[in-house]
Amino acid sequence: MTIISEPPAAAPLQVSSILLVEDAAALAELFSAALTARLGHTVEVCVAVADVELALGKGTYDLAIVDLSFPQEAATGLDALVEIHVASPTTKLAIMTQGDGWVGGILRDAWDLLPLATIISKTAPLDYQLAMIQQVLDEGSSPVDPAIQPLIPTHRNPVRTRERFARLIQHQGHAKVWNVLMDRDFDATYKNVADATGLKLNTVKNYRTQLLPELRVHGMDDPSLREMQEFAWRCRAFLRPHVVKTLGG
Amino acid sequence: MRKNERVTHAATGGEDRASGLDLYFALLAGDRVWFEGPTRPAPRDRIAASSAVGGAIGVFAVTWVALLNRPDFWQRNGLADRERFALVMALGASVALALLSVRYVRILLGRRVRPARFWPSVAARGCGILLIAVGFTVSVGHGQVLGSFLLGGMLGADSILTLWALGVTPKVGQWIWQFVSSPLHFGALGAMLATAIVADGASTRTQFGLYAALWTALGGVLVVIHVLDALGGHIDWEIATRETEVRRRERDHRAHWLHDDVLSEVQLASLRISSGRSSPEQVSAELLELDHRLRLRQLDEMMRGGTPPIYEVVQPHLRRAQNLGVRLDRVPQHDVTRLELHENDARMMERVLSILFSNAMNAGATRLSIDMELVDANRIIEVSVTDDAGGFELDDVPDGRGLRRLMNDLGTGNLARQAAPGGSTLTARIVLTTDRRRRRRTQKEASHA
Repeated sequence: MTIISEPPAAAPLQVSSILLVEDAAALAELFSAALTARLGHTVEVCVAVADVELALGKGTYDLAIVDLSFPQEAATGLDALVEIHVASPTTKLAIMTQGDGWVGGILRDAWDLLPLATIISKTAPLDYQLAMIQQVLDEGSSPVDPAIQPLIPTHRNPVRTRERFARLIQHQGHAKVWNVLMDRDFDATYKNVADATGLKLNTVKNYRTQLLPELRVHGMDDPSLREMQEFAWRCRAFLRPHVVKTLGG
Repeated sequence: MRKNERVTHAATGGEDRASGLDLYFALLAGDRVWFEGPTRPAPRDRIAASSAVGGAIGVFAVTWVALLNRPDFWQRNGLADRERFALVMALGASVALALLSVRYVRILLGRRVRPARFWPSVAARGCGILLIAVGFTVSVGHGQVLGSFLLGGMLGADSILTLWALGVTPKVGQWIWQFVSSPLHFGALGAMLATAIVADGASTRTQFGLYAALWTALGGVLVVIHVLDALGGHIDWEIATRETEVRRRERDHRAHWLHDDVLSEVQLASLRISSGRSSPEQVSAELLELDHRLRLRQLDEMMRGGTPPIYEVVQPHLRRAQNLGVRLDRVPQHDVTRLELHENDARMMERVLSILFSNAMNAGATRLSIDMELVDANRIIEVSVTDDAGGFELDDVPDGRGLRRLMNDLGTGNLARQAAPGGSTLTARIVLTTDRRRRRRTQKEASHA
């Protein structure tokens, strides 16, 4: 069991720039106003993952606070976090989420694969949230909100890294399979994967079998093609560069 | 990067390209090869498996009845070489039928199996099916048509299981045409024609008999595939319709509840603010309470017939405590909270948490620690809530209180109180629903964690 320390009282020392990625526009506006009024920081708000690229072009940020769920987009907060981290590795990353079970998978992926400074619960009292943010800006990190803690492992999986995704694509055949599985609308059956990739049914099966030990590293024990598709869609920000490199697309 | 698009790339060709025989090898390998993960057989799989078992029993019966009724079988001076050969082949075919049927019986019993390897499966099942076909052909004289149809039916049911596992839509008409225009068919026709020209009448009759049996078996395969696929589609449609109906009822129920309860409370809060009769703090507290009820309602829907993980059950209570200003010193960790609970266990845990949290907060707790542990070979989960709200004795809890009722429902010794620094620890032991398969899975998950 982990002892969860109490966040310190919010006391801003210097003005920091914060990027807030949150699709609920009214909530984003109120929260950014609180960050500015109570902590004195400057806040840039993106109400869509698609806007992050533009915001990153405007400058660098000390901290990015990102929601995970963007139902109106073909993207998740994980895509935004990776985009921010790649463009600006020094920006501290924080997630602000309801922490419902259905974002649990994305949350655990982000926890394992990105240097998260903290995870904030959207339902926590505002003072508590602000204190966590100030602690991140002052000390570099803050303990995960206790309401979120049961959703994520106590310790990050040390063998699960972004670089490790390369092992899921050992050759062009694997890349072809992942390429179709990253498409969320694809009906992932053996027949469809074989048709879409031009591979034999048995070859598709063999590739899946070859990947099973590596998929176990990502928390999947003997997943079906559909479960692999769900994983590929969730983690496409990590998979796609390797697929592109292998296929030369 | 984030677009839902595939990477375009040049086709590579080479040895991986699928051939026309790909699907036939996949069918020969059988559905077990394409089995994925620990899924239970669907109702339509069970119907197909029972058809396959029926076909296998039919082929077995026809083979032995026909063999034992052969005119030369019951000779006084022992079996002739031909009869002995037929007997051996019938025995071989029976063993092969029994081995093939093991898979169908396992589907009927709902047993999970590990997937088989492709080429060993192709070899084993290919030999088995060949043995059945040869044994049947050698042994059966009379009843050839009936037996062929039954054999075809069994193979058809076997094939549809594989087709469903692969996600292939059967195209019966196209396959008939493919067979008619295939080298196999032309070879059979050529052999028959050659026999008719050069051999005697008996051989020609035998050839025609075999050709008729081939078509009858093929007819059996295609008819059974067509019927089972249609039946499977109908079953899927019925299940989908039933699910839609359940969802519609739940939606109506939810809409009614939203209208009667949630919206009226929001309206009430709005009126209180506009009339100045409630402070923003009071309204905020009421909305937080409403938020808690909404989460419990969401959890209730999740528990209904489902197997929610523990973190879903514990979350509404953690959030509520947090919103009431209670500091959470310790919360259960993911290696325990990731475990999925049976509906009854989830409801019991929800009740335990609700009562233990309320008990602590009503007593004025400002700090809580929540611990969970699987004990007694994962048959029992212990839930402990430690507070800083002073002490009390369980025996002093009056009848009719939630805690007293919980003590009675959990059973003797399954709710205990211990003194903790400045407060107390209440520990509830929830005996998990006995389900061998589920417990095995829980143990496996726990060991993985």
